[in-house]
Amino acid sequence: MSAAWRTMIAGALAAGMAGPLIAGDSIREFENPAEENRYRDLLEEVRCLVCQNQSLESSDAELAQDLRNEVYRLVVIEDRSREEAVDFLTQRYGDFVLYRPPMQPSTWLLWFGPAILLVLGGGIAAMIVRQRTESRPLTTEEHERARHLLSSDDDGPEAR
Amino acid sequence: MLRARYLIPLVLFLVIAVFLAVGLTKDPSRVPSPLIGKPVPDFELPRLEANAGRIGPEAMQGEVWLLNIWATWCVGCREEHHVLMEAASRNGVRILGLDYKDERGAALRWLDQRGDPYFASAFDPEGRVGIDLGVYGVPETYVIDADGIIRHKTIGPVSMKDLEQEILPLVRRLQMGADS
Repeated sequence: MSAAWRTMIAGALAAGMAGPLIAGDSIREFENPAEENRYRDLLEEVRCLVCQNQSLESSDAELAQDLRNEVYRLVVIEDRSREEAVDFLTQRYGDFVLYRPPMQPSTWLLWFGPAILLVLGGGIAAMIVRQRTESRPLTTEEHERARHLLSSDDDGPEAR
Repeated sequence: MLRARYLIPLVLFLVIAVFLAVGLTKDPSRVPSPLIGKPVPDFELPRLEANAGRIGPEAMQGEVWLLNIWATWCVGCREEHHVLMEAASRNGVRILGLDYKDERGAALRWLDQRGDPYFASAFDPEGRVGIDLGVYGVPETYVIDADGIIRHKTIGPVSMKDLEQEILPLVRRLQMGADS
């Protein structure tokens, strides 16, 4: 292996290793995988209020960093349950922080609306399809007219 | 009979259009606060002036007051500053300032140069109290009644219009309620 290659590989490795060190958060330590899962799950479920379409996990806003610290403190250091952590956040920021809104009368339309629309749309489509495919034998007059149209040379007004 | 059926898509379209039109007039960055109608979270923070003791909602008990969260790095705070000055000086509203994630020196300089609308200033460099208050966009302004209940929250800079049409009338109403 040439010296140039070795330098390049070393450089690439160094760049890869530098990644986690540059990130704004301190390195998290977990006692067990369950704890880590609880932490990671929550970060994905909670919206960052500054960049509303990013989760706490992916947002780089300062508030998101603070809230990641809070979630870490709650579920890892204080060993609280997921529900308690969610309560903590919704009490301060409202249900809006949750990507999955809670089931309650004001969100019923949100939860069931799509299913209702699907059933409605499917029903209408089925009705239309059934109407179109309904067939009956032609009457004598209709037979006569069809024969006349098919045999005549007249292709209609456009052809004249 | 047939005609009425053709109207259905039009009606559906109009309903959706109305929903979308209403949606367009709303600002998605203003999230309703769950804290309205609830007691203001208790805190005790060092005052902005170094070694000047601590301050918190307890000091404001029994009166109607505003809690204003601000910082020197926040552009909206610059915008609303003269409105707060107006509220404090001309209308005599008591405002507790909460300097959020800021530097002490810069904040003191700001108050010195631009004027200090605050009855007192608390200093929250880590933003811990900010989290308890559900702060996500500075500036934020709360109206708190004599019992320490949050009655109103303005997210973003308070305009002269907000002050005159919403905040001041509410403050007066709450003060009258407190007197009776």
